[in-house]
Amino acid sequence: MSRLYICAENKNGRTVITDSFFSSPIKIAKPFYYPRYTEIMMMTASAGMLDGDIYEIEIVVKENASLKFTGQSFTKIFKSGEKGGAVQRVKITVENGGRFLYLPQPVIPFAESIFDGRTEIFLGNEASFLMQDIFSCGRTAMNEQFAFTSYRSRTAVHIDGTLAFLDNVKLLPNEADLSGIGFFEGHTHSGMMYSFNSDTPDSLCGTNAHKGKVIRMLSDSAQEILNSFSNEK
Amino acid sequence: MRIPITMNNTGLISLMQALDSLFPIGTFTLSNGMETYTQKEIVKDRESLENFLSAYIYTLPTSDLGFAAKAANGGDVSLLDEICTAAKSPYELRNGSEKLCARFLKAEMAMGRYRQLESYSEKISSGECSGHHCIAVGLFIADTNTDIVTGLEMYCYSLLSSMVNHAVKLVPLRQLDGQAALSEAMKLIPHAVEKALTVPEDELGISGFGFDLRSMEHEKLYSRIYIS
Repeated sequence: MSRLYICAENKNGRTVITDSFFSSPIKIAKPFYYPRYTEIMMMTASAGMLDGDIYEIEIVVKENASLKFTGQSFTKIFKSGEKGGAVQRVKITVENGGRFLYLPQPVIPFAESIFDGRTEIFLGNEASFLMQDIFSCGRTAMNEQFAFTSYRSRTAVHIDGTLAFLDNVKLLPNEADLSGIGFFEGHTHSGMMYSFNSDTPDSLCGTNAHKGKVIRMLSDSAQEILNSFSNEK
Repeated sequence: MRIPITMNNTGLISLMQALDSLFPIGTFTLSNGMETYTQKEIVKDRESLENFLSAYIYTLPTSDLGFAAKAANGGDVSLLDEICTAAKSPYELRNGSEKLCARFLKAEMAMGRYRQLESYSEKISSGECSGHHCIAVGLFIADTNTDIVTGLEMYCYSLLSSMVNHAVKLVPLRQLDGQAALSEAMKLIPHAVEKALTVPEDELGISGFGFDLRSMEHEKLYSRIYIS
């Protein structure tokens, strides 16, 4: 199992990482300090998530701290074998007055891969949060589409202890025509952005969730989604 | 001669009334995204309607049908309601579900004593629950002592039938083409119900990205007949 733990606190108006821990192959780059926030970039020493890999990531953003989380490269999920695929568990806590931008890179499940991701997010009523989740149906440049075995991703946002937003995804290409109606509808990439007490691009298709805002987009390129999401951020 | 009817039979008939498309709770005003699909001509003929229905019924065991099944089987109503509210993230889907629920409860509680509907209604009044039609249907299946499988099959049929009626009006399609597409999709109902009855709690709320996106796009359609 590989772990990453980060705790960000506000010290005299600057966000500093007061506690952190990581184990191979996960690493973090030296934090980048900007006037209004601090950025942490996650890197992995391996080419992607291998069969049997388990990532456990926990990020805590304390009162009045402002943190941005990014990834170095797209997350590739490799072919699964006897270990049953790759697993990722993410827990995020943002205290009141804290601000967190969770912007991992797009995920690409390769042919015959299995992925199971769970993301639990706990926000205070006065916290500010924005996340993106970008998905590619395979190595589309090689014409590999929906060739993975199974892709599971459950993201739950709790605000003041109540479930406020749930994005629950289970993709089984053997069971349904995922390129068809109701799913990707002829496209190869999807992008979801969720925000709470945070600005989002106005030009994209959005809606008010029970609490917070959701934006969704279907596309044929991860870059297009990244550009659309970052334009007005 | 009068034929005595058992409790179960009246239950089934009450459920038929509750799920009838003519039951006055406003089902006909909610297309749940179908209006976007027809305006964008993604659903435009019998074949595309059949594709729509088979994808829709594929998602039902983890969405409306799954919530109904859990509620009918004595699941924790407050928890189901909380998950349903969070999972129906497109505003019009969530709001439509809440409106249907409010009218459904009002209509049924005016006609009979239904213990679980009353308790759900109290939780909605107190703000503990949002109130969703699918959950109310599940509770009503339990309150009427209807066989759960039969009740869920009827509910599933009513969801498909509404979608077909919207598509027939919106495209428009020949009535018989609509019914032919419906009868194809009906073959998938028993399997969908079986899955809904065993769906793990953490899979509740799984839908399709396209379905959510088209519901969201409906908010900004230039001309709209339906409110979702």
